[in-house]
Amino acid sequence: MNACARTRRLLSRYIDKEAAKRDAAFIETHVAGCFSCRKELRELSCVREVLLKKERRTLPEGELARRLLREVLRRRSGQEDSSPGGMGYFARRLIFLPAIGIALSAAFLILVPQQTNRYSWEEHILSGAPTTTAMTLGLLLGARVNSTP
Amino acid sequence: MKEDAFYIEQFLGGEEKAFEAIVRKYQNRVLNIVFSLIGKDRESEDIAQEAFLKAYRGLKGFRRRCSFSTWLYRIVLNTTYDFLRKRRDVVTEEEALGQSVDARGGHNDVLFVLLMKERDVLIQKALGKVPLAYRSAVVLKDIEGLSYAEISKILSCRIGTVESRIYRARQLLKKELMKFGGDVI
Repeated sequence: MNACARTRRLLSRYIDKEAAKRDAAFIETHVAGCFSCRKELRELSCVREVLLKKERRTLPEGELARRLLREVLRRRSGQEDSSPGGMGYFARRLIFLPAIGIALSAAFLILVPQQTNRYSWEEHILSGAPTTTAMTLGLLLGARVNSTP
Repeated sequence: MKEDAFYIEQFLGGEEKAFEAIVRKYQNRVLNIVFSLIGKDRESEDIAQEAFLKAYRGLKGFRRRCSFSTWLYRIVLNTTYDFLRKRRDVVTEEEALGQSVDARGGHNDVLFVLLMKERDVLIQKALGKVPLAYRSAVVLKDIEGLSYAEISKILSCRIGTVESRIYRARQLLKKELMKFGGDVI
């Protein structure tokens, strides 16, 4: 690696005063005799100065903490709504219970042991035998009935 | 550091007020990092708030493998990256000008305000042109004043990578700022 490339590689650390003493000494010696690296050092130092002097945003003391507290309380009140006793809880139960019923009925009908005297749901309905909601669901799911017509 | 540890212990012990002290301490630092990365005032405040909310929720799982500030800054950067991924836009000059007027509303010297406002707008505009990986490194260095070692922990990369990212960011910034006719640097 030539002297210029080594200088460029170490330049950021040197500008930020994080270069090792030996590296800093190398850079100082090199830039003293190299116009191009001296120019680069000066310009990048200027860029750093520009950023250091960039305007900083400030919020009033405790502003974000206040907003955060409001947000936490708002989100918590949303959660409380779904706790037992809240409207969200009951609404969820109203949807959830029938869903469990449907799933269990379907599982029962599909998993019933296959019997020799089984026939299809279509045949069962056509025979005029009584049908239940579970049976209708079984029909939709393509299951087969397990009783005699 | 010790102050952070003290507040965290209190918070984990059930004293939720301790988190408020953490927010008070870091609010402007976080805000400036976010603003320097995205260049939008209102969104910066929202992102800062969201980052603190994530920290609030995640603090119980904070394993102390790194300092609290490193952990918090990681959350801040990730929240900012998420925002930028969702909204792939850059700050417009008009927006930046409008924001700067608000930010400097209390200054008396109108000419000074205008000159500084224009300067800051140009700096922010130039920052917006620097790729996010380089921008993050240079913002953590020059805006937040962190060391290379701290930045490497936050960005989960080697110190050499931080070094080259900062160098590249400054080179690109120089190029962008030079386009403005040398008024800025």
